[in-house]
Amino acid sequence: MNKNKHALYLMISMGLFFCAVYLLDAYGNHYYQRVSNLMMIYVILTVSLNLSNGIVGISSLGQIGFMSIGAYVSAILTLPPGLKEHWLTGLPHWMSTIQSGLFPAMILAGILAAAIAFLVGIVILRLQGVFAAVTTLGFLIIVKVVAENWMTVTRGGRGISSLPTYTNLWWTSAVAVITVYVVLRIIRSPYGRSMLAVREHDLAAQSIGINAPRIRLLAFVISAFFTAVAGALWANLIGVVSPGSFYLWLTLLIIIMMVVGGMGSVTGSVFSAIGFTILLELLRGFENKIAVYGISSIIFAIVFMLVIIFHPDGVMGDREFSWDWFKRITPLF
Amino acid sequence: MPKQISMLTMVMVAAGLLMITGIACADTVKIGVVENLSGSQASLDQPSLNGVKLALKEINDAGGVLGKKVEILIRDGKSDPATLATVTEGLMDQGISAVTGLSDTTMVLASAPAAQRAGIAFVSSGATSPSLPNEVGDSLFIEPFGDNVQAAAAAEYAYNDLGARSVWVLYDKAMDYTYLLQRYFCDRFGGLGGAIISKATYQTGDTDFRAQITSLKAKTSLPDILFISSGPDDIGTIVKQVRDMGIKTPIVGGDGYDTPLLGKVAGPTAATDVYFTTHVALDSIGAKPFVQSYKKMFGHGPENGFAALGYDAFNLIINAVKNAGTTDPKAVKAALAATKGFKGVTGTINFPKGIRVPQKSVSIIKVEAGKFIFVKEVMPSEIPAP
Repeated sequence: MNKNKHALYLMISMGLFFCAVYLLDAYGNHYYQRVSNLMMIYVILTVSLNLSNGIVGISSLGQIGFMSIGAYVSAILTLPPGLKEHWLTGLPHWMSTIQSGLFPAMILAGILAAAIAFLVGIVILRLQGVFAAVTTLGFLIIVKVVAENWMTVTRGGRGISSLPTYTNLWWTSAVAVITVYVVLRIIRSPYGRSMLAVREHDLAAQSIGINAPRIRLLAFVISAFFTAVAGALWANLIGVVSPGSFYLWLTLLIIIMMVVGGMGSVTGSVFSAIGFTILLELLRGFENKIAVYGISSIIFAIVFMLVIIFHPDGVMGDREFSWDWFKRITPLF
Repeated sequence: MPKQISMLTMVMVAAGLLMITGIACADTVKIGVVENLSGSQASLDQPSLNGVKLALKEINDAGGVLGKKVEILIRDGKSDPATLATVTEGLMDQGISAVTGLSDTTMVLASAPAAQRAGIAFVSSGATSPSLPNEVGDSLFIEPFGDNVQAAAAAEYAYNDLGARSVWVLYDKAMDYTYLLQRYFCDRFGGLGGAIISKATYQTGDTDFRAQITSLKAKTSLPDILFISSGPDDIGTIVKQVRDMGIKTPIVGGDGYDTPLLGKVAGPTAATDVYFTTHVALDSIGAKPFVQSYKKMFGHGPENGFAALGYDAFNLIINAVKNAGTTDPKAVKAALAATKGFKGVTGTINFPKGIRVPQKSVSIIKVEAGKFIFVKEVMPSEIPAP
């Protein structure tokens, strides 16, 4: 009975969500579309970071490196052939004559990043805690340095511009919903239970037969896949990729979104990514009004600190959103 | 209890923001200004914004344009492409007639496509890549000369006036601007019969250039000049390190040198025998009224030529609004494209038919003991194709 009701609520809210997407995509102005697109991309990034950092407990600071890889793969695949021959002289000939659409670019970006995550993960995931944080940060730096110096493929620090802007709200919202769904399903599967066990107590988990390194690697690879897909969407939204775009600012932004939402709570990540995107835009409006530029970053930091002081587990802790919460508000549900 | 307090704080902050942002404005001519007021580009874009503010004040003191006051909507791009693209998009439905700002090619590439989609003219006040208007589309105008023009002027000045026959090139490979500038320079210098001994590269953010300078010292004979194509943040450090390592050869470069950082970072003993091309000589007679009003408004003289470029770009737009006789963005765009003989601080601007890069002369500046001295105006006789 209760379960059916919840399924119904979910269907209704999904229906409303995609109605909103339709209305915004068809009638909304470009600014709201762009902010919503970024919001959905942040949702994908935060939820997939939560899978590796919050749910399995890998202290990774290098996820944005996978985003960079995804963005570059997509940029190289979707750049018009005329420009490709002109700029990216290091590509094999067959590659410089093709131009792919967004979907294959996204999938290839994800697969390549997942493969790299697999290789990197075998080495890095032997480490834990602060050691893993430092090595993954090293990975982020390596990705940036490669992007800056592989002139004939990435065009170096000048970046790749004039990308077709395929990304629209349908793509970003659909990928966001898929990401949330997949991650939620993983958590509720036996794999997910093992992930939580590994996070809580590595040794105890191993003693009951869980292959902890394998579980960590699995989460890391899946997280890298979705992060890279978000990178591909980002590249074809902004139209320019450059190495500096995928670095510490984004890394910190996504970590803040995850921590405030609650490490281990997927729905918390979703709410937090949405909330922070809106907050950042409001702050920017505020900044323009009072003409003190840079103050938005300060207020952003204060909000973050307030949450950490009063709610160290984040807004949601490691609970998930539940329809039963409404029972407390209104007896109708 | 703490939970309620934190919630209350957040709600109050949010409500306050909404109230402040919700205040509406009366009937005015609105112009968007997109600049990087924080981050790596701030030393160019802040003076550029000051130039815009000065022009705005002068126009409004004289009664505005079309009988209306002019209003600017300033947006900070934070030197980040994603932020820039978003804030530019956010300007598009604010009823603006045109947009101006930005001093770097990569930044314009991230920002201007939004204006292009909306059909609103974007006048870049400082980006100098001559191929930029074609890369973005018919809404993009650049206000300064193209890099091909300034590089050709530098090459001709070095060859004819400095008597240079050989050059060593150092450039920042992370920026379109620095890459293109040295390419155009080598095209023209080679065309005149000069020899390019070798090229070395570095990257924005590098602070140690001694490896590159050592490779130069290892050459059997030093070249006549060094052409160093650099952005504003690095040039002071590079000049200092070159001089510290005992190389007294003249250094030549582009408008990235036009920053107080050059004299400040390198110091008077190092910042000497350096030549660069730029948009305006601020100590020339033509620039005097501008420099004086700038001093009066901000309490100090213009930091660099980008202040004058921002000032000119804004006046150029207002001139187009006047000529169009309306604030309609499409009409303003058409009026901009038809600009003829507009006299600015940085020279006279004409947009030849279908080309949204102006034909202007180039100022050569000599740096002596950290001071900028105007040498001459050069109109290059041959300009490499963009």
